[in-house]
Amino acid sequence: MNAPLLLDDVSKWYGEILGVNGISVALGPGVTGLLGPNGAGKSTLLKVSAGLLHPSRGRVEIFGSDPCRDVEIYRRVGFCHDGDGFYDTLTGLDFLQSSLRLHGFAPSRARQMACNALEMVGLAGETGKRIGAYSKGMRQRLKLAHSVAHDPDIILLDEPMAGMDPVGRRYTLDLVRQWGDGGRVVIVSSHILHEIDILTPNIIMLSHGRLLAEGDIHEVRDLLSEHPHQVYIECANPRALSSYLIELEAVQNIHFDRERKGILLETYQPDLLYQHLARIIAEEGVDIELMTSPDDNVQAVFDYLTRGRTEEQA
Amino acid sequence: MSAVISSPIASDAELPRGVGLRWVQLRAVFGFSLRVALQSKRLWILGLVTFLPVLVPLGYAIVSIFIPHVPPFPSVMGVFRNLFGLVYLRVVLYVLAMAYGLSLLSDEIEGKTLIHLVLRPIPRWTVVGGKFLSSWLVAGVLIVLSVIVTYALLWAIQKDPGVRLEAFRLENLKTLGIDLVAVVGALAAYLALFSCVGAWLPHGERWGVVFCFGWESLITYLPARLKWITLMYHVQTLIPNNVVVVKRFILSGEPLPKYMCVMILFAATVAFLALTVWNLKRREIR
Repeated sequence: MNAPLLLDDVSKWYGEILGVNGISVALGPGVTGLLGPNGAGKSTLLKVSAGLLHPSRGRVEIFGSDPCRDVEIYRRVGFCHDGDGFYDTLTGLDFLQSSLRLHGFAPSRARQMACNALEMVGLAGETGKRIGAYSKGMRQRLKLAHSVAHDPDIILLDEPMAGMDPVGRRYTLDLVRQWGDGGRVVIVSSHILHEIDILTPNIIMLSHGRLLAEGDIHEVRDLLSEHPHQVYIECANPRALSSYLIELEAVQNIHFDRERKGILLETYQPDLLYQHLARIIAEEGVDIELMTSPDDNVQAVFDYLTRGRTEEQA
Repeated sequence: MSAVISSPIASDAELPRGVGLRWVQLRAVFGFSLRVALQSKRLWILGLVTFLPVLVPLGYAIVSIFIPHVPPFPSVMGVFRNLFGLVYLRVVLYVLAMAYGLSLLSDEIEGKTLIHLVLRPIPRWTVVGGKFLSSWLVAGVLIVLSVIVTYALLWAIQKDPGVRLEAFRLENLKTLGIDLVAVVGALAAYLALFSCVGAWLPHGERWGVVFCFGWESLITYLPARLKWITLMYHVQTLIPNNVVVVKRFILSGEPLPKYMCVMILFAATVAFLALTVWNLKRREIR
């Protein structure tokens, strides 16, 4: 395999505690989402990939080199880690310039590259400000700039949007997508499915350190067809609404939430259900106050998948 | 707001190669660490500690103003030698070496900033080397300045102009010069030792205190050759000793040649730094 980033049967234990177990993936250009709930092993996998942690078993190769042994590989790798440690007395520009000097760039060249990177992440106006005075979102952006300032071919991003405001998140998602479109290998970890959904269909799902699913996100979602989708509706008269819905074949079950005047529907045909709902609302004049999908989140997906695995093992 | 990529496009072709690249990288770590060190609060605190001995001549001068018949120093050089041997070598040197040495890596580890350095294409020895050199420079400048100021003040407060001029006697200046070279050399060895302790052992400050004020202070007074395995014995061998207690106890018996002491201090510095580099090489960044 000639993939730029290769993990072959990689396991990592912290003493008795399992970090990741038997992960084998080969990643090429484009954005790949690394999904999993907290504690799934996302950060461990990224750190093993970046050579910051030594795999207990298996091997990691970046462009054919072992990142634990070949420091030169860091010319081609950028890593936005999950920590928040900075040299708070330095300015953002000084910090980036100094980091680029470590690559061997001349001072003027390093400064120019640092300015470009800060501009790229939207921190051009904050170059002279001490990092200690940066907000959480600005520190996150600075980490992003630090990881891409040397124009790497592989970019590993560990929860890059954490602590950012909605505008910053949107901006960062655009940037990440562009890096992927530009032919770089980009891995973005997140426990928020919807963020990854916007970015890429390619995902790696982890749970308890194990590879749960890998590939196109739509294929993974198809796995959910074994489980009914849930739709929660709140309206003024849930009983009247349910009397219309109970006749539909698309509806599998209806549960009442008496306290909040809501009903929870289960369906194997969500598209058909939504069509019928639209018709009922229009024809019968039902006033819907709230409609959500309680199982349309990464946690629910993981619950289904892990439950399936447990049942298989049983 | 939509994002636009203006890629920095780094070209490897413009970079130096081989030894030249490593030299540039070592200088970069040195410059970076120096900048951080100069902006830290630690510098101010240690600056105050290092300049405490200056209070001795200042205090004497102030007392002289209020009490006209304060007896003069029996020997200005004797007071300086005692201050140097007992305060600078036995307290200030240890404090500086512990403060900068123990924090060489542990500050980066605890502050979670080490990751910024190890994610760069630099061998880990350049991280230790650059940080060591910057710490050595800062601590060295502090102690050298303090010793020089103390020396100058001790002479300047003398009432007799003839006595004051003895500050510039070649013999006295030579002694001062040897003292300064010895203390800067000793600082390198102790810094390397404590950087190693800080990297390998938790609660390095406790080990540091036990080592400095236990091992180094007590063992050197033993008559046996056990004291040869302290650093302080070799430092004391290098400097002109006027302090009676040092002559009588520490340097009693058959002394090691000075060149041997220099080599031992140098070897200790290299060995402790190598151990620190080894620690950093095998360290995982969590």
